[in-house]
Amino acid sequence: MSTILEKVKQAIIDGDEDAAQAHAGEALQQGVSPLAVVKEAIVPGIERTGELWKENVYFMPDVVLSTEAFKAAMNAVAPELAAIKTDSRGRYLMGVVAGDMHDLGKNIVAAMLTGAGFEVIDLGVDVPTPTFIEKARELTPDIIGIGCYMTTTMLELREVMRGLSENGLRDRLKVMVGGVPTTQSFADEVGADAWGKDALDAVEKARALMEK
Amino acid sequence: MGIRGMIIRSSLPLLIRLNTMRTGSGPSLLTPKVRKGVQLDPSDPRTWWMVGASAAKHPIPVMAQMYDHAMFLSGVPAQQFYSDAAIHINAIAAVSAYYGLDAATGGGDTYNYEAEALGQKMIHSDHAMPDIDSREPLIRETGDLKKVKVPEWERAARIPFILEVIRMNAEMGFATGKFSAPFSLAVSLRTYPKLIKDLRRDPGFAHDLLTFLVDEVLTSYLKVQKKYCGIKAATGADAWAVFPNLTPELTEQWVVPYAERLFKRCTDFGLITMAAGGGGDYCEERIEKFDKQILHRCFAIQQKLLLNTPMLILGMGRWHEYPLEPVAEYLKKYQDKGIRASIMANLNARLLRDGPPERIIAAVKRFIKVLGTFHNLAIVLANIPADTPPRHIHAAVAATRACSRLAPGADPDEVGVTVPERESFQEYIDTMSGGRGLPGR
Repeated sequence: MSTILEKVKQAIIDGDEDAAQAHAGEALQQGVSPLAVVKEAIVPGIERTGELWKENVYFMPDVVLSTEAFKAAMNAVAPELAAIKTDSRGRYLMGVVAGDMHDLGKNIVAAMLTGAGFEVIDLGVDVPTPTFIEKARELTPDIIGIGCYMTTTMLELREVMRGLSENGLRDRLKVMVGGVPTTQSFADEVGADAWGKDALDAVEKARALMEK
Repeated sequence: MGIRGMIIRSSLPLLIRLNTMRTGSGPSLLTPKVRKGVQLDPSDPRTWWMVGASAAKHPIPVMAQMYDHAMFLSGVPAQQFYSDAAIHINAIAAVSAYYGLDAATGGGDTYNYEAEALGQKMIHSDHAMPDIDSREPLIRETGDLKKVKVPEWERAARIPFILEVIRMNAEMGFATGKFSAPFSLAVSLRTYPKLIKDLRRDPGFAHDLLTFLVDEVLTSYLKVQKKYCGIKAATGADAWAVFPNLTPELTEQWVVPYAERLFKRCTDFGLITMAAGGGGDYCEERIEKFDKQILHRCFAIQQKLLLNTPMLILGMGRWHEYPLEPVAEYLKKYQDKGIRASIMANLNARLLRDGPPERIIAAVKRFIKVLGTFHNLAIVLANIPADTPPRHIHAAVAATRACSRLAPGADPDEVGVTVPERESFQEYIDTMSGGRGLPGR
């Protein structure tokens, strides 16, 4: 790997968003293709962060800072990347249900999924059920990921599931659920295809769903 | 430092030890002394709980954090439950009485009151607890800190609500105030990612922020709580400071010093604060990553936050799955000296929701078997999820009662636990209220 790509990767691992953005821009100026910056530096950087987290070397603060650095590096290459047709592992629509403003976990999942090659469309937090339905119809995602982080907003998730069914969308896509109060049991209850225990687990389950 | 503060600080460990010895069971500072001599009043659910709880004397008390569950079970709309003190307390007391719990305390969305009063934007929805709007943090840029003004607490946002809730708690026997601990309050105003960046890249600002929150915000707020509610102690909730949201190193550096600073500030006007509701709480989600060394470091931090008393809080983590032997091992330092530590052992929220009852009963038995034979134990039902089946809660209570008076050497696993076939909550309300329903509904 070239020195500049190594710097991009290391900045992401270190959670240094300023350096990640600057080095990614520098790589482009040096003539490295945006795709190479993503595949050889940005993605390996966030993947290494995930590994360190699994090994109990990294904890939440490290992961959050790496995620921010990942986003900064992606922003640096995004304009040039947009001009190139890239292969996507699948389209993933995601959001947090109405009444729920928690976005920390959702943002980490979005970064990890992007790193894993998914085209991620993030609807943000406090997403009303009709918006989930409308966007699912309009954007035809392969997977829809629904997050909830409070025990009361878990109940809202049932409404989204009902809306998908009533609008004839449920059989056209896979549904994943996640968030602090959720469990596999809850995912089974609401009829989801998979439960993401955490960000890395969500990526593994999303990959598996795409292979089905 | 005033003379009063000096006296309180120097005598605190003794006071806590005496209190523990006096009650003989449970973490005494955090266990309510139920008001006695109350007559049952069908129109006042607080009396339903007080009459039952004051008659019982359970060696292992069962307590719960259950705001969402109480709201859901009683059918009170969220906006009313989190803004009307009488309805809030009535619902909590009624649900606590229904389950036969040893504590009934209102409180609600502890992390939000101070932030909201300072001007943080919130969202209030019909079905859920109010939530901080993290898209619009009050302190978006570091320069915004200078613009934050301490409000006139008695009139600010929902502070009158929570003051009244704490006052009513005190009337029932739990005269302990509540506040958002400095670190979690900083997250509420700044967001977690921004604050973490501050800790690493702009520690001077992070110190300024936390110092402001302790010296200006929380000290003045707790003075008002003391004056209005008649409390002598207050506990701080700090869920953002649990492990692994923060590492033990970061907790030592950014949580403990500000808890100590607040403690010193508040003892000057006669209030004991323990900002221990989160810092050092071990909450590893992946059981394969369980690490005894980290756990013990977390416990050491927790004890500092618990004013170095012989107490532990096994909080929001997966304690039904973690090994408990490392806990007993940590507490051996007390056991060797003949000191019974007080342990608040939480049953995990997701376990309570998902069940089945047999699994909940097994978790209770394991707590008692490993930790309850020597130490003082309290079973805490951790943040009961809204739609938890009541039968699961009855199972937890029944298991605790069945196993709490065992003969020395008896094995809780040998004890049969029968989950009582109970009426629904609505039927209970109808019976207790003489058909009038939950007051205020």
